[in-house]
Amino acid sequence: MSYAYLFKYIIIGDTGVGKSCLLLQFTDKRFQPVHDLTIGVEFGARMITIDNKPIKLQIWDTAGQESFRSITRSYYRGAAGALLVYDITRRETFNHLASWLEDARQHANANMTVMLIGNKCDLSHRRAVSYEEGEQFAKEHGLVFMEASAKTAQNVEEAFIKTAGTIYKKIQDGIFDVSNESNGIKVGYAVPNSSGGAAGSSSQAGGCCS
Amino acid sequence: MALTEVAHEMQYNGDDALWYPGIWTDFVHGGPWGYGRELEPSVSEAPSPEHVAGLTMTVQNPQASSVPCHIASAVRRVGWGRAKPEIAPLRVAMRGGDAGAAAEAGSPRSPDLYDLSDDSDYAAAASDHTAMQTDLADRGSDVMAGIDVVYEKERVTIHLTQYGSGRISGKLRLFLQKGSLFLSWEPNEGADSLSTSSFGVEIEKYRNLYTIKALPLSDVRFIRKHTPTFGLGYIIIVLSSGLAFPPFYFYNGGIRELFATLKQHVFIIRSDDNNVFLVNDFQDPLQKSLSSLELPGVATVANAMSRQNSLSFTGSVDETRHGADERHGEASSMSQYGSKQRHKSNDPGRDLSIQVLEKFSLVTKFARDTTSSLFRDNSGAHGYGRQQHEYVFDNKASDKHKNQYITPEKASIPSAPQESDPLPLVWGKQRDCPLSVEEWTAFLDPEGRVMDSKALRKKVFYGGVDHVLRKEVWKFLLGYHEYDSTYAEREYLAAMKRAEYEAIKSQWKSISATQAKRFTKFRERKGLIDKDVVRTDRSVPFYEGDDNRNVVVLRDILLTYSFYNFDLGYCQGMSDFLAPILYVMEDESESFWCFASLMERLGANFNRDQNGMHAQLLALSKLVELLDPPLHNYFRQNDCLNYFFCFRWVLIQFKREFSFDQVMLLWEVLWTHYLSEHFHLYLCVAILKRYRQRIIGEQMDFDTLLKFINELSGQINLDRAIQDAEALCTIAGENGASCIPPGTPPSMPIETDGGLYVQEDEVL
Repeated sequence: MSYAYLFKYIIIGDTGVGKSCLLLQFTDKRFQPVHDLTIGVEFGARMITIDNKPIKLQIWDTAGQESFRSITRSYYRGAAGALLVYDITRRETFNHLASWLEDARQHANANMTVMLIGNKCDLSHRRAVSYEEGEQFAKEHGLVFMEASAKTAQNVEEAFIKTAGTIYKKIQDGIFDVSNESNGIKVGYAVPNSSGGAAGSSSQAGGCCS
Repeated sequence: MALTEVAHEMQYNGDDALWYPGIWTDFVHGGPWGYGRELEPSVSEAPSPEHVAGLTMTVQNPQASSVPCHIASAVRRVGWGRAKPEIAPLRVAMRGGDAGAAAEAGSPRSPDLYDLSDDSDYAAAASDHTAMQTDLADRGSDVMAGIDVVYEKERVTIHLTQYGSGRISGKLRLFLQKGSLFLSWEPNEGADSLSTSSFGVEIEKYRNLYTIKALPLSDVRFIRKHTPTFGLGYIIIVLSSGLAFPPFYFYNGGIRELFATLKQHVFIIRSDDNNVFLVNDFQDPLQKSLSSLELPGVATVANAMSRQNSLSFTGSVDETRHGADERHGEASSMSQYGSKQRHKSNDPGRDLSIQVLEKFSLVTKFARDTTSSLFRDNSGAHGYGRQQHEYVFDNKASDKHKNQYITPEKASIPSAPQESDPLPLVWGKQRDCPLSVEEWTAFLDPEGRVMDSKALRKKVFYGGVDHVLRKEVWKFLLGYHEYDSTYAEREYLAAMKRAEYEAIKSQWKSISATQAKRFTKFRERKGLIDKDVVRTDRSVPFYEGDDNRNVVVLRDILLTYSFYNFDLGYCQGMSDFLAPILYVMEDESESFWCFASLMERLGANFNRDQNGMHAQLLALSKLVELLDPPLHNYFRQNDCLNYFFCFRWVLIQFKREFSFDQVMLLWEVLWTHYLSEHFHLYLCVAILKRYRQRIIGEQMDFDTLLKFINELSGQINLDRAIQDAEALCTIAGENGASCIPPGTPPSMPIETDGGLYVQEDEVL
């Protein structure tokens, strides 16, 4: 399928915060409470439209356990966007955000857009982290923030699309050099105002994103 | 000069790794291993012209018998830790008719001193397939009268060593004489192939041995073309007699033109994959195509061989099966190639498909390797060598599986569109049926000891275990039970271990809610395990549904293990290992101890510093470098050498790549440690090799590769992967083993004073 751009996303955060469920909700619009825990990384993809342009999101869903941090770090390379997820019912997953962010800053592109997501907001009766705390953390670290629920689908669509919008704006503002794929952006066939690099990257993009 | 004498003499001279009764041997085909070929003439009887399709074999040098060792030692100096069998000292030249003059050679070229992999020529030539210029400058200088050169190409090169460090460059020609087409290859004068001076001298001495003066195309059975995306194109010429020339590498391109020229003069049929060109001998070409030869051809050949009772590997030769006289076995396998000629005109077995010939070649290569390993160590390693020998020749089930060693390619290649890069030459024994109850009982003495644990492991390696026996057999494979334990001892052990398990379990069972509040590590571990057991194999009926009791047992075992081995604790992936074990054992304590035994070997996979994983991925990288250098180079150039794309394969031993049932089979195969403790790494190599064409052809970068490998889940043909891995493991031999550092899981860890597992502050 043709697209104007392909964005690579990575979903990070402690184990069990709902990364895979968020991905599944976004790509398949369903919630599957019973699924295998993620070993290494899993992939998802979906087309969205921004500014009338088809944009493909290729999403990397990573394993959350601390032991696998060293391998997770290798996935940051070339990611244009990251969803940093915590579980609003488990305080420790919020406490670990700084460490995740540090990893991201260290191993990802400096221009990577990071969206902070407080997941499981449907379980507000078990809330251990307030909305304000999440908002505050995001503000301090320059992240976009949202609370979401993979179960009810609340804000899931918005989280991914808002991140894409931010990335798209960065392209429009010239912050991203789209001809450099290390930015996590590939230019596809359908690019209307074809800039340099489009031809070179289109075939590759087609090859990997079926 | 009786060739037999030379061959036999060489057997004794070849005290290290080499002796070659063969004529033409090749080695390189997309890597040093995957594609070995050795098609050998008879040495058990005096060679006569008809043995080699009208060509006269001539021993060129009376000292020929000493060559292999010299070259072998030179090769050792050049770069390999051990002598590699890929060096092919050729002692016998093929000559046509009366042509005896020294080779008409092109101008001498400057020595190519480099490894092929570093060679700029290599890269340049690799992209030069379309350059169709023919070097015709000296076409008119032919001394032979009445010939018409229709094709000529310079820099058509034989590689003597696997990296092309020893090469002989020459001129390939097609010419017409009296209406018949002939092929010739004449080496250039002067050194073109020096890696080290001593090696160069050896090559120089024998370069004439490679010369082909005038090979009638009517003697060519087929020509295999190989034009890889990367690397040099080459052809392999196989004669009607079954002899194969070493590959000719086209440094200046020209393969397409060669075939274009051939087509003008001889009848050629192209195989389905467009790479094999059958040159002659089709009585009814309209009704026969190569594809029609695939399966029936294989069977016919196997049967024909059995009838002839001369080719040992088909299983009809008892002395080789019993390993009593390996040299005899070698000789008899060789005699096949000579005697085959006699069946040329009427034997249906002559309808050889390329696969069959290629399998021949590997078999003989195996035979050679194993035989040489026997000669290498007559004392200590005899059992090992014999074992390998059996691997090649053993065919106890020959009545049932006449073509046991000849994998029916028809079934495998076309039916697997995903696996786009079949390994026609890599070859493993066909999978056996699982260990049955009767067989298992036969392994036990009256008191319940396993009498021949190696034979048991072999049986399990090749066929797995009937599911009803897994509960029993896995305990041995995992090391929980000793093979020489009796029924009574095992029963006693089970009781003791049950009590011990309960004691460890009570350590966390007794933690009160109040205590847990002050025990963060416990809370965290328990929380993690609680979260993971409900995400483990829930689609398997044994674990599905709400409030499944087995899920609770899974949790209890993992939590107990995290107390039993507090340093290691719990890590994701452990539940993947435990789930099938509990499913098989159906007993909490037994499952725990089996799991604990497994973790003795694989615990390092879950270490916080991931040292076990890094060790295995490094070893994997070394193995790919050994077994598929072009693929290794590709990974290197694309920054993929960390092999993280194989992380999941290695971490949980392919648990997520196959179905639950297949995983149980695969694991019991791996746990036998029959060919190697690290067989799973060879499995990784085998699968990567299967898909190398796509990986390289599609220019996958790290991200794409990772996604590609991930998506192979559920797509891999397990039996074939195991067979490929078996072949790779056997071929790699000690060189493979030396790629794997001591202590690499699942080898037992090397204990240090600081404990087995690296500790850090955090527990998660």
